[in-house]
Amino acid sequence: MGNKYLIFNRVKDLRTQNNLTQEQLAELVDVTRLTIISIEKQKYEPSVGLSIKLAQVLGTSVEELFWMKEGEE
Amino acid sequence: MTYLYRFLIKLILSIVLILRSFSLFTYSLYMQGGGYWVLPLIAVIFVVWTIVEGISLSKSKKWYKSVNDTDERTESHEHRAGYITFWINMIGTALMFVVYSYIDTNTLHPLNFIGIVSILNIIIFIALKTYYIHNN
Repeated sequence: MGNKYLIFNRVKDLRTQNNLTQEQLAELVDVTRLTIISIEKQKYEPSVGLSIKLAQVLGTSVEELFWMKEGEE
Repeated sequence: MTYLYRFLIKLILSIVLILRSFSLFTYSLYMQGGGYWVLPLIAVIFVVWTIVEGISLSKSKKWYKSVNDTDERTESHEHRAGYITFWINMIGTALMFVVYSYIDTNTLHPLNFIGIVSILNIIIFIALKTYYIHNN
């Protein structure tokens, strides 16, 4: 049994702090609203480029926005 | 490309498709029968789809906004759906050779078989893509 790294994020928290809707955030980072929903539900791990864009728009760093936890596979 | 521009293209395509398919429908019905309903059915579905999209665009007032319905996530799901569809296509084509070793080409014309496989591929691709985009 190997270890699996799980990626977590606080996109939803920061989005609501910034008073942005999913639609508005999606437009700002040039993706669809469904992608924002997937990221917030931790279903989709965005690319490095999208992660940087999200961090810039939400006024934080990538490290603050995303973190990794080790979990059993 | 704006939503209005894309809607107009779809509208023109649906009108052409409906006119063509129904002219073929009567001709095919008269000449051979069997499978004649597929194209008109697709045309009707396409028209309904276009109308529904038009209503939704009117409600959201997005006519003049640029189309933004693809991104890295949808692209990856498209690739995944395309990969599965490709193998279904390969199996379908292989099956065609097996089927024609048993049945006569007059029972089911090879062109009709290819048509059925192609339509099935398009439907499977769209269905899989939609499923992945909304569930992953």
